[in-house]
Amino acid sequence: MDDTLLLVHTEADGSLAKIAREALGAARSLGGSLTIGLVGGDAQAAAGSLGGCGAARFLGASGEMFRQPRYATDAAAAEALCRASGAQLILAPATSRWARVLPGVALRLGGRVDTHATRVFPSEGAPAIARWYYRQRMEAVLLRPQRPWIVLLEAGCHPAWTGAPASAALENVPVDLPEGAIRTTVNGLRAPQAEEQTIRPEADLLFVAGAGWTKKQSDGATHADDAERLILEFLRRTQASLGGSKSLVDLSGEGQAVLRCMTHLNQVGQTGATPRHPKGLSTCCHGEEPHVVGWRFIGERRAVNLDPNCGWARGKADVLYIADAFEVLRRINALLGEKTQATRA
Amino acid sequence: MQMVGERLGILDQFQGVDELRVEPDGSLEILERVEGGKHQVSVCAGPPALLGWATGHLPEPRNNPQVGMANMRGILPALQRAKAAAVGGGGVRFVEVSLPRQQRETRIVKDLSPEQIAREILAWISGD
Ligand SMILES: Cc1cc2nc3c(=O)[nH]c(=O)nc-3n(C[C@H](O)[C@H](O)[C@H](O)COP(=O)(O)OP(=O)(O)OC[C@H]3O[C@@H](n4cnc5c(N)ncnc54)[C@H](O)[C@@H]3O)c2cc1C
Repeated sequence: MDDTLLLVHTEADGSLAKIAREALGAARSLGGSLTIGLVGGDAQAAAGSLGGCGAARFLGASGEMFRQPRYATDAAAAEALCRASGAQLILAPATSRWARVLPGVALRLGGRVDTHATRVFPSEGAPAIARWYYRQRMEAVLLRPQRPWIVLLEAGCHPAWTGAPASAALENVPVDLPEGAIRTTVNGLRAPQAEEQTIRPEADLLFVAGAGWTKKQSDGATHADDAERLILEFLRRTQASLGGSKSLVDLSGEGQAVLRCMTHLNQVGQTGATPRHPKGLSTCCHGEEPHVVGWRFIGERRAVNLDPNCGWARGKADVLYIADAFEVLRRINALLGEKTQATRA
Repeated sequence: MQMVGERLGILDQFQGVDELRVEPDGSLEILERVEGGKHQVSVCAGPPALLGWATGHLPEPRNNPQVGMANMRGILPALQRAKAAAVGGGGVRFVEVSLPRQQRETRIVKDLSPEQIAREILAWISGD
């Protein structure tokens, strides 16, 4: 089996994200010798949190310069760690930070890179990866003879390593940055214009709203304000992540009186996102194929729709409730409210 | 994109860019999509820089099934007739390609009241 380097970076608060621990879980499952490469403002603290994982070496590119995600410094750090480790297989969690730089690092190393891997496993004594093609419609398993081979592993594909912290002897690796290489400053994060932050990648539940929320209901009127209140209350109480169908997102984009909490970044589907959550609940969404391909990585799926012949009925959901989503969500929110009061009392 | 940037020696690279503003001093303010629907805000001293553009503030174009059908009729048959050509990036070996099992056994629940459905969904969400 190849020697593996797991590349991780710290988050803004110095911790390691869940996706980093998932990639560690995947790296450990390969067998072979494992080195951990850490990039961040304080790599030592982060190394300690992985201390018990059984890695042979901990290499770090640590310091103020590496606190923020930035191409020039991250690429230089990753390159230095890869070279210092001598690893043939380099595994990294598919964060936006690593996705920005690792293809460039592969070129520097004369290696290869694959993104969006969903599995990595030993096959005939060498690592193999699985990934999806054509918008999650086809899955392929592939091998490459070239090394080093950099693989970016998606979130939610492997159980996270949950071992205890332990002391780790971090070897600081010098990083070579040419004079004047830092021309970019990072000024932090900005949340979208939506009134509330509704996209929560680590949530256990994806709640999808479809265009039905804005359509005329049985009383002949639309109830977009009601819809928004119900949905936001549900999200607040469950901390679910909000997804939308394209029809609903398009309506919101046209400035109609619809859901102000929805932007096109919420769109799930063929031309939207493919989020990963253990469970998904669809409401007022028809469940057509271009939408449901975005549900590839949603474990258990349930839907609420008035139409018993909607797409969800045709093998796309585990359970389809034929009901008025307004009514159902109102009751769910009320029950959640009672639950909170009971725990407070 | 990153590899092209590397070949050109460009060390200021941004991906998933939704917004680019040129400041009076020639510097570039760049918003990149990151996790959780947020944007990372960076200021780059100026060109050269490499930007992988996302869709900006515009959503995906509206659905246009006619264009989709026209493509199916025109482009796909042409692609199927095309001869395979070596385009570099060799060495990758596909050992297996499979279509996922689409079909789930859907339980269709027609005769529960909203209250009963609410309780069932809540129990499911809370993992009971
Ligand atoms: C190339 C292409 C790419 C596409 N990409 C995407 C994509 O990425 N994502 C995407 O979502 N779509 C995509 N689509 C569009 C997709 O085919 C559908 O048009 C879209 O998903 C429909 O959205 P919807 O189900 O919310 O709306 P509708 O089809 O209008 O369905 C509304 C549903 O709400 C139900 N409803 C109404 N009132 C209630 C109520 N009170 N309680 C319960 N149910 C109610 C109705 O029964 C109906 O089923 C794409 C299409 C094409 C051609």
